[in-house]
Formats: sequence, structure tokens, C-alpha cells
Amino acid sequence: MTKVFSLSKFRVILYAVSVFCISAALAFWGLILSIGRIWKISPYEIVGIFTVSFGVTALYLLLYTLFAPRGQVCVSGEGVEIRKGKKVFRCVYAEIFGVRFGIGLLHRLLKTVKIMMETREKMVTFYLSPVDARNFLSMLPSFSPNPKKEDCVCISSGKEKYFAFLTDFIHLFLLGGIFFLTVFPTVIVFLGSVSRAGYFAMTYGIILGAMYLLSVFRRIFRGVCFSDHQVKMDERGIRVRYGAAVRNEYFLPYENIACFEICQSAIEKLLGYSRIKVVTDQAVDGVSDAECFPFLLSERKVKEIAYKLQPGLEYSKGPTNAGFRAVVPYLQYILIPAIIVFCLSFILNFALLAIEIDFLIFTFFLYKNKGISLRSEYMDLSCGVLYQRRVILRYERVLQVVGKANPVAKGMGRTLLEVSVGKLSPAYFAGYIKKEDFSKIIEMIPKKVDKEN
Amino acid sequence: METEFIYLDEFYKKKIKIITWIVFSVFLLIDAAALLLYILYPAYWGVELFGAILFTVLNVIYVLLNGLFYADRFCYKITDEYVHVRRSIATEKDAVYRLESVKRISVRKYKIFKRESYFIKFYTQCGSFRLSFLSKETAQQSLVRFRGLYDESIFAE
Repeated sequence: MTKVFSLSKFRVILYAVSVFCISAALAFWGLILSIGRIWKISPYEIVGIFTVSFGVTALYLLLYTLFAPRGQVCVSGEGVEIRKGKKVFRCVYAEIFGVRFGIGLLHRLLKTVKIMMETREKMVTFYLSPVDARNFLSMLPSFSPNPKKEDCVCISSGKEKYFAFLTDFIHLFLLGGIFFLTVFPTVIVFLGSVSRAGYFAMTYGIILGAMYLLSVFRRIFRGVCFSDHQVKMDERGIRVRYGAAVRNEYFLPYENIACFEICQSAIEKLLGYSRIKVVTDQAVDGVSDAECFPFLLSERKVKEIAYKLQPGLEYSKGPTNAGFRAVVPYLQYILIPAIIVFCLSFILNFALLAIEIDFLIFTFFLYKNKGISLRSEYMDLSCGVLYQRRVILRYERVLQVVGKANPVAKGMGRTLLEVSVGKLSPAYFAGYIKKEDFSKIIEMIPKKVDKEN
Repeated sequence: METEFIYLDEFYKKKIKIITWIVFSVFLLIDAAALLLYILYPAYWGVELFGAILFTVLNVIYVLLNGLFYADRFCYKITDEYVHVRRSIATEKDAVYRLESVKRISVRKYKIFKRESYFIKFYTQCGSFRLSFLSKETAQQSLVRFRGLYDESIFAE
């Protein structure tokens, strides 16, 4: 069945508002450049800015009504076709990965929905009326409700999401505190008195406080953006819905998932909470910034999601560390700065030696959070410094493997592993692994990347 | 089938070493000039001396060692599944690229010491890598699995 939807005629108002804002900003900028002041602007000048903006917008509206192409969205049995004048964009259903509904205040007033459709190639944006938008979404096979409801796993974050505030606090103040304690003796020696060094302590405290406030605002903003967040996982993929003011909907087929990460800090590990980050083909190509699980989740929910994403996952048997001896090659990262600080301590003052503790802590974290386990279908690796990221990655998704061995590591039969799954994906550093494991990974890379099935 | 690593042939090894020594010596002239200035006007030298030493160290590492080790140790193998490139100076680096991740190949031809030399650059989904100083036969043999991804007319000329 083929159905044709006309693009919302109110979209022109949304465009006009954008044109008005841009032209007002440009006029304001031009005015500041010409009069050379910013704080004292007379009412006549403000009227001038508005006159220019209104004029440009009126001209834009006139040109738009005369020359703008009529647009339509055609949904047929094969796929979706978006036509805007001579521009035609076609894509099959299998290539549609996500659909987002942008419904802001202005959209509500104009009864228009901004639809952002994420496809394999690019993100396509168009406007429909709310009824048409709902009908359009129901016609896409991937977004139609799943008939087998018993197979569906529903996940939503509970009160555990608020623990992110505690994590930020501990991260900033505990690590910031350790750094402060190691640096403060040097500052006292340099400034000559404890009272003078107090100003340094006060400034440091203010900076830490400001950073914590910023992270709190960031968490609240995310909380508002992802309000009413619901995730359903069925046999085809993940369906995500969130946003009260601006509604968003994603559908993520499992075959589009390149890998997934289970991220947790030391304190979250202690409390049994973690966050899941799903890395998709579109994300590594830079088309999408979709996030499925933006909040902290309890271990039970994480397990449920992980088993669905990687059937047969050995969740309890995490990546294994390469042994205590493997800590030696990591010293290359801190050896040079540590020697420099050691030498400077003889020239400047011995209090500088306290900074060596920071290097040791950094090396400990660097070593502790690395590891790898090779399973028959996937590799289970962990990386990160402050946050441990456990990555579950299927062999056929690996696009690039790099092994680096410095002379020390070479002597110990180890190599530093770096794995990539796409251009814009993070490279996963699993630390120093055994040479035999590296050779095994190379052997496990099969011939085909089977994205279609 | 087990594929062996392909090293640079003896002709290129010798030539790369010659080029390396020439470039290294040219940069060494700057050091010699700096040393002469230091002897003639020692009072004017302070932090600049550290700069000159650092420059010499970088010259040794990045020009001399890189060039000499590249000639001897650079090797690669192309199987039906992946491209494996190995290069080492002090650190040994093994990079394995999945064959399907190669999206485009650029082949360039230069005349080096009166011999046609081919430089191949592979553009993959994760970045790029090069195979340099290849003879015509080696380059053709290396690109057998990548038909359609490069301009084949370059070998016909």
C-alpha cells in the first residue's frame, strides 16, 4: 500500500523564524561594528535592527511562496521517498535506523512535527502535521508495534540514575583532593608561608566547586532531555522513546550495533551500578548521535540488556588482566615525567617528590582497568583509566587491530592492543596482552562483515 | 594458505639507506653551524643550546633510525582476510586492517634512481596506511585483491 503525505505548510513559519533570528543577529553584529560600542544602544538603533530583520524575513517569505518546491513524503512497500521539488531522496526500510520527533513549543503552536530520519547515508529532516507524523511512523515496519509482546524486555532507569551526582562528587573531590595534597607542600615551600598558600587552596577549592556545579547542571540537563525514557528490546532490535516536550523515537536493529560498552567508575562498581553505551554503525560513520541508555542502571538490568545484545555472554567472567608483571611496560608513560620531577626536586625543593604519588596512582589505574578475554564469538576487553569500560565486541565487527610493543614489552612477550570498529569510534586500548593472544585475534578475523543478516 | 611477509627488495633498501644518510647529514650541517657559533660566541648561548641538542636527538631518532629501520624491518602481507603491516624502530608496530574496510586506493608512480617506483595509499574505514617503494610487479601483486578500488591504467603506462 502506498501513502503520500504532504509536507506541513506551516513549516514556512519555522523557516521564517530562523531567518528572522539569523538576520537580527547579523544586523546587531553589523551595528556594533559600525558604532563601536555594545553597552549603550539607543531605541532607534534597536528599531533599525528589527526593521532590517522584518524586511529580510518578508523578502524571504515572498521568495519562498513564489519559488519554493512543493514537498511530499511517499511511503510504499519498498521504502520511503522524500520529494522536495527536483530533489528526491529514496531509501529502503532496512536503511532507516532512527526516527526522531522534534516537538518544541513553536511546533505545538503551529501543529507541526519536525521529523529527523536517520538513515545509513545521512540524516534527513522534514515537517509533517502531528496526525501524518503518527501515521508515517506506524507505516514503517521497524517502528510498528511488536506482535510478540512476551518476547519484549522493557527497561527504564529507576532511582539509581541519581547516583551519577555522587560519582561526579567523589571523582572530583577525592581525586582532586589527592592531587591537592601532593601539590600543596610544594606550593607552601615556594610561597614561603602557609597563610599565602591558603589563597592557592581557596582558588583550587573554588575551581573544583565550579566544576562540580557544571557537572550537576549537565546531569540535570540530560535528565530533562531524556525525561520519560523507555526502552523496549524485542527479537528485532531496541526501541527507545524519550522526551516530554520534544518526543524522540529510535529503532535500533541488532545488526546495526557494532559493539557495546558497560561503563562504570570505581564507586559505581562498589554500588553495583553501570551505564551501557551502544556503538552503532551510524554513530561510527558520524550520521547519528543516538543514545539508548543515557542513565545509570542496576546490575540486574545491565545483565538483562547485555544478554539480549550478546546471546551467550559470559557476564560474570569479565576480562582478565595480563598479570602483575604486565605493569612494567606501563611505566613508559610516567617514566620520563617522573624522572624530570625527581631531578627538579634536587634543584627546587624536595616537596616536589610528593607529586610522584600522582604518577603511581595514574599507573595503577592505567594497569588495573585493562584486560581481555577471548571467547569463541566475541572478545571481552576492558579499557579506560578513571572509568572502566568493558567492551563486548564481535570478531566480525573488528575493522582494525594494532599491536605495539616497546623493548620492555617485547622482552616480556607482550603487546599493547588497540582495536577500532569505525572511523569515528573510540579506539579501544586493552592494555598489554600476550603475543599469543594477539596472534589469536588476527586469526579470528573472519572474511566477511555480514551487515545484512 | 599461509602467506609470507613481503620485505622491500635489496635495490630499495640500499637506496633508502643512501637517502637517509644524505638527509641526516644535511640536518647535521645545522648542528655543525650551531656548534661553530657556540665556540665563537659562547656568551650568547643559553637555552638555545638545549634546543640544538634536542634538534640533534630528533634528527637521530626521526631521520637516521627511522630511515635505517624502515629499510630493513618494514614488511607487509596481504591475505584473503586482512592486510598486515609491520614496522619497527624501537617499538614494534603490527597493524592489521580488514580487507573489507579498504574503501579506496591511490597509487602513485615516481622515478627513483632511474627505476619506476610505486607508492600505494590505502584509505580504510578507520583511517589510512601506505606501502611505499614497491616495484611494478610487487605493486601489481599486492593489489590483486583490490580490483575496482584504484586506477588500473597507471600500470599500463
